[in-house]
Amino acid sequence: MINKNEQISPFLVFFLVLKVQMGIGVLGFQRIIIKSAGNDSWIAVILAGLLFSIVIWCMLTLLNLHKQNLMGIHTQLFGKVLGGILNIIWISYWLFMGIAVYRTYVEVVQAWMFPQINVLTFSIVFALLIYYTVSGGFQVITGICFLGVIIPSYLILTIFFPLEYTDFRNLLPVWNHSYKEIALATKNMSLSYLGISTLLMYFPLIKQQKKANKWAQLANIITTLSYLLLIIVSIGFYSENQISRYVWATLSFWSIVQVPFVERFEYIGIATWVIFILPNICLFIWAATKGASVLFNVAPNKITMLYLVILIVVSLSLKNRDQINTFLNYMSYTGFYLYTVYIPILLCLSFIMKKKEVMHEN
Amino acid sequence: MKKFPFEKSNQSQTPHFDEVLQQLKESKDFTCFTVGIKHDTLCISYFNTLIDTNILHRDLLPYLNKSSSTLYDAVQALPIENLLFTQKPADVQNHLLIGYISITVEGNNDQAVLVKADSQLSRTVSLPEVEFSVIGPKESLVESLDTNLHLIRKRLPIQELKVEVLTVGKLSKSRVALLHIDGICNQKNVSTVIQRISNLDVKQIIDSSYIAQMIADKKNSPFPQFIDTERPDRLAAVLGEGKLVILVDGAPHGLLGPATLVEFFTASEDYFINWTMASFFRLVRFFAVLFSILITPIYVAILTYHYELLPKNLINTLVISRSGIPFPPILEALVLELVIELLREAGARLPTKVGQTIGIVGGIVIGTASVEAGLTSNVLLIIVALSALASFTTPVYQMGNTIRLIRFPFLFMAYYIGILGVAISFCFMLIHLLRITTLGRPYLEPLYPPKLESLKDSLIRLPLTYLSKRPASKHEE
Amino acid sequence: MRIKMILLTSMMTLFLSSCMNIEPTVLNEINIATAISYDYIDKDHFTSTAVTPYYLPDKRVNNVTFTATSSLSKDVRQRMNQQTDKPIFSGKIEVVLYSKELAKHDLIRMTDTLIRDPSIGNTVYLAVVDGKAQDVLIKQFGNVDKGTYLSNAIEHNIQSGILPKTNLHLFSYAHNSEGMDPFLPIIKPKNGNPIITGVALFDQGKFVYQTKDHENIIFKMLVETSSNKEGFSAKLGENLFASVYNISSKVSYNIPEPMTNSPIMINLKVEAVLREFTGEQPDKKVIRTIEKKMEKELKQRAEKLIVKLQKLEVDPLGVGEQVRTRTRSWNKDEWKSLYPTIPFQVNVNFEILESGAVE
Repeated sequence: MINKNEQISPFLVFFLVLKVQMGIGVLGFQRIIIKSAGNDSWIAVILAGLLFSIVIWCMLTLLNLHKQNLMGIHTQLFGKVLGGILNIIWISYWLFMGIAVYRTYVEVVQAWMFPQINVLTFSIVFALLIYYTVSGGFQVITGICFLGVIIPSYLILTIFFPLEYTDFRNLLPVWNHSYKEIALATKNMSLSYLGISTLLMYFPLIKQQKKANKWAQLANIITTLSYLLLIIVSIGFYSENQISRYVWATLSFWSIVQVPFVERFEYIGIATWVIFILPNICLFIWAATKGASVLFNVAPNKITMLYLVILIVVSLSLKNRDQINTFLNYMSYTGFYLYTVYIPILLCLSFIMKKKEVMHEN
Repeated sequence: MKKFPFEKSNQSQTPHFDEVLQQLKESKDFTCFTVGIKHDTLCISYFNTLIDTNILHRDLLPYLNKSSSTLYDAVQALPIENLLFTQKPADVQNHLLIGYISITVEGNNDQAVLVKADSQLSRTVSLPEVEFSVIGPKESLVESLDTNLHLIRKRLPIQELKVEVLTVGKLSKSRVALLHIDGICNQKNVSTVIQRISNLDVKQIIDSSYIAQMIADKKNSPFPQFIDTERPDRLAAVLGEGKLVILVDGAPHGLLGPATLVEFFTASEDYFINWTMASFFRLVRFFAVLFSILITPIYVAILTYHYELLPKNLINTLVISRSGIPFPPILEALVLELVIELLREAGARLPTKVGQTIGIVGGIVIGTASVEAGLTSNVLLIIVALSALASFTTPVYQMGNTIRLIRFPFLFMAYYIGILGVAISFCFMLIHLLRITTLGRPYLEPLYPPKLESLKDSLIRLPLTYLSKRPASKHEE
Repeated sequence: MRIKMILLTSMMTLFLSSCMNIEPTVLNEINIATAISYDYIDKDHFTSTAVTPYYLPDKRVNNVTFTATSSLSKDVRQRMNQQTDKPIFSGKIEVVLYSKELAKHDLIRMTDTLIRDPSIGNTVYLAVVDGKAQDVLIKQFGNVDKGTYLSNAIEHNIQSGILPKTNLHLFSYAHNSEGMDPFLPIIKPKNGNPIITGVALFDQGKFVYQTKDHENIIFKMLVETSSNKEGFSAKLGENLFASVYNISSKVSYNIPEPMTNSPIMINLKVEAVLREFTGEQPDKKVIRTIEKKMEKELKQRAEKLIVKLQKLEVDPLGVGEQVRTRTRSWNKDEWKSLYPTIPFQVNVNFEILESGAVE
C-alpha cells in the first residue's frame, strides 16, 4: 500500500525526468558526438531526443499496463527466481549508474580544481549528503530534483558569453556526414540521456499516472532543446579539431565568462554542479535501495548505507581517467541496450501475456 | 517526574475546607477572617496579594448582611454575576491561588462559595517594539491572556473563531489558548496541536516560545517552525488564512503555525504598502539572507583556494588589505564573526542606553583598531559587518538567530574544500529544509512542492485583489 | 540512536577532513604571475621570465621578475620557485609573450601547456615580441602591474584600435581549424615601453610575416565585423587628404564556385564619419568623390594584402573556412594547393555618414 504522503503530483515528473536526463554529461558530451558526426552533431542530438521520446512512451505504456513498478512486473511475468535475477541486474545497474555519475564528478573536481584532493574524505562527506537525502524519502528526493533544476538554471545565462566568439557558419554544410556516422553519433548521444529508467521505480508514487506521460515527454523535449542549444553554441565556438581535444568542452567555454566581480566562471560552475548532480545520484541510489529493500526485505536505510560503502570503495579503486572511461563506457552500453532492447521486449512480452489472459478468460 | 509534596497530599486524602485553609495560612499573604451572620459565622479567605481589594470592600463586605440566615442567602445579595459553588476542597484551593475569594461557613465543610476578585494587574496595550511598523496598527500583545484574546476577537467578530483553553505546567498552571477559525483551518492540525500540548509534561511554561520548541515537528532543527509575533493584527490576518494561533497566559507573544520558511520573511508592513514596494522589499530580504549566509564563507573559500576567480582589479585591493595579516583567512573570519556575536550578545544583555554605547565602541573603535593593528583585513571587516547587518533584516527575530548560527558550518566547510564546501553545505541546508515539516506540511511550501496559488504571496507579493482567494495550501482536507 | 550515528559520522568526517589534502593558495601568501615571456635559446631550450606584482601598502605596485631557463615550461616554474619566498602560481596570467625568434620555430608546443593547464583561462592574450620578449617585462614603469598594463593595452586596441579579436582560445581555434591560420598581435619594446605595431601571421604554428602599418586597418576589416574609433587617412590626390573615424565595417564573401580556381568575391561595407579633409567645403558631390576615392584606396590595399597572403600561403582571413562551409567535398590538401592560385576580387562599398559638426 502506498502512503499518500509519499505521493507526488504528476507535474513533478517533469523535474524528475529532466534532472535525471541532464547530468554530468552536460559538461562534456560534445566531444563524443562531434568525433563521429562533426558539424552535423545537432542532428544526432535531435534524433537521440526522438529515440528517448519513444523509450519514455514504451516505459509508460508498460507501467500503465501493469500498474506497478518494474520489480513487480518482473515477478509477475517471470516468476520469483528469474524475476529476482532480472531485478538484481536492474538494481546493480542503478547503483553503478549512481556511482558512475559521482565518480565522473570527482574526476572533474580533480582535473579542474583540486588535483590532489583526498578522494576518500571527499567521498565520505558526499556520502553523508547522499544518505541524508535518500533517507528522507521520495518526497525529499523529488524536492532536491526540483531545486536541482531551478537553482542551477541561472547557468543558462552563461551561454550568452561565448556568443561573442561564435561563428555559426561552422554548422554548414548541413548533412555532410553519412547515415552511419550520424547513427553512431546518435547512439553516443543517447548516453547523455540515460537515467530515465528510474521512472520504472517511482511510477506508482505518482498521483494521476495518466498525466505523467505528458510531463515526461515535455521534460524530454526540454532536455533535447538544452542539449541542442549547447551543441550548436559549441560547434560555433570551437573548431572541430579543437573540441576533440577538450574533455569538458562546456567547462572550457565557461572560462570565457567574465563579470566585474568574478572571472573564470568554470569554478562557480563546478560548485553549482554539486546541486546539479546530487539529485541524479540520489535518485539512482534511491531506486536501487527501493528495489533491494523489497527484494530482500531489509530496512532501506541499511541498504543505502551498504551502497554508500560500495560507492566509496568503487570511487577509490578507479584511479585514472582510462579506468573511469572504461567504466563509463561499460555502464553506457549496458544502459543503452537495457533501454532500447530490453524495455521494448518487455513491453511485447507483457502485451502477449495480457492477450493470453484475455483468451483464457474467454 | 518528581512529584511535589503538596500534590501528593492533595490526592491521597480529601482534606476538609478547614485543612485547606490551614495549609494556606502558612503563607503570610493569606488572609482569613470571619464575619458573623444570623446563625453562622462566615469565614472569608483570600490571598491579599492576588485579589483586588476594591472588589472586597465595595462589592462584598457591605452586602454580607447580618440578617441573612444561611450562606446561600448571604451570597444571594452580592452584586456579583458569577458565583461559584463548590463542595470540593481542592477546587477551593486552586481558585484561591488564582485570585478568588472563598466564603465558607465555619465548622461546616459542605459548601464553599468562590467569588472572582483577581486584580487585573497588567501592562496596558502599547506599541509593538520588536515588530514595529511605520504604517498600520500599533497595538501589541501584552502578558494577559484575556487582553490578548480581546485584541484578536475584536478583529474577528465571528462565531467561527473558536478558542480552546488548556492548562499546562505542573507549577505554573499556565493557560494556553488555541485559536482557529472553524471551516478554514485544517481540523487535523487543530487536533494534532491539542494532542501535543496536552501531552506536554513540564513544570513551567514561562513563555509561548516554550510551547513552540516543544511541539515542533523537528525539535533538533535550528529553523523555527512557529512564527512568534507580538502583533495582534498579524495573528488575526493569519487566522483568516487558516492557520492556528497559540497564546499563552503571561507571554506577550503569540505563536502561529504551521509556518513555512517564506512566512518568516514576510512582515506585516508588506501588506500595508503598495505591492511593488512590498515585493521589492521581500526580494531584498531574501537576497540579504543569502548574502548573510554565504558571503563570509565565499570570502574564505576564494582567499584560501580560488584566487583565479578574482578579477585582476579586485586582487589588488584584496592583497593590499590582507598584506601583513598574520592569520589564515579562516581564523580571521572566525574571530571577526565571533566578535560580532559578542557585540550582539553584549548589546542584548545590557540596558538600551548602555547597549548603544557598546555598539559604537565595538563597531567603530574595535573595528578600526584591529584593522590598524594589522590583525584583520578591512575588506573582511566590511563583509562581516554587512552580513551581520543583513541577518537583521528578517522580520521574525528567531530566523535572524538561525541565520547567524548556520553560517558557521558553512565557514568550516569553505575552509576544508573551498567553494565546493560552500556548495555542499548549501545542499545540506536545502535537504534539511526539505526534510522539515511543520504540523505535517512541507516547510518549503509554496516553493516546494510548488503551489502557483500561494506563490502570489511568497517571494513577492502581488496586489491585494489577487490575494483575495486564500492560499490553497492552507485549507486542504 | 540514528542521531548519534549521524553525529559520530560527521565528527569523523570533520576529523578526516583535516586531511582533505588540498593545497591552500592563500591570496597573500603566493606570487601571482600576471605575465610571462619566452625567449629562444636553441632548439630545445628557452628562457622564461615571469612578472609578479608586489603590492605595497601605500597602494603602489612593484613588478618583480623571475627568469629561468629550461626545456619544459613546468620545469621553469620549479626553477623560479627556487628564487622566491612564496610559490609562483600561474592562474592569473593575463599575457603570454613569445619572442619572434621562438615564434619562427614553433608556437604550438608552447601554447599546448597553456591549454592543458586548467588554471589558465581561455582569455589569456598571446603576443609576439619584435625583439627580446624579456625586455618588455623587465623594465619597471609607472605604478601599475605589468601584466594588467599589457592586457589593458591589447584590450583597448582590440576594442577600438588596429587589432582584431585575439586570445588563447581564438589562436587555438584558428590553429585547429582546417581552413584558417592563426595570427597574434606583435609588440615592439621601445626603451622598455611596449608598442603594439601590428599583427604577426602564422603558417600553422610558425611565424611568417609581420603586417606593415598601412596593412593593419584593412587586415582588421577583412578579418572581422569591426568597429574602429581611430580611423585611417588616405591621400586622395595632390595635397588632398581625407581622414575618417568611427568606422564600422562588415565583410561578406561571395563564392560562386567553391573549390575551383574561379574568383572569390569579398564584399566590404564600410561606414565612417569624415574627420579631416584638406580640400574645399565638402558638399554632397565632394563627399561622393571622397567615398569613391576611399573605395578605390581600400580595394587596392585589400587586394595587395591578399595577394601577399597568397604568396606566403597563409590564410589568417579564414577564406578556407568560408569555402569549407560552402562545399561538401572539402579536402584540406586540395585547398592548400588551390589557395595561391585563386583570383580575389574585393568590392568596397564606402559610405560617409556624417561630415562632422560643420556644414
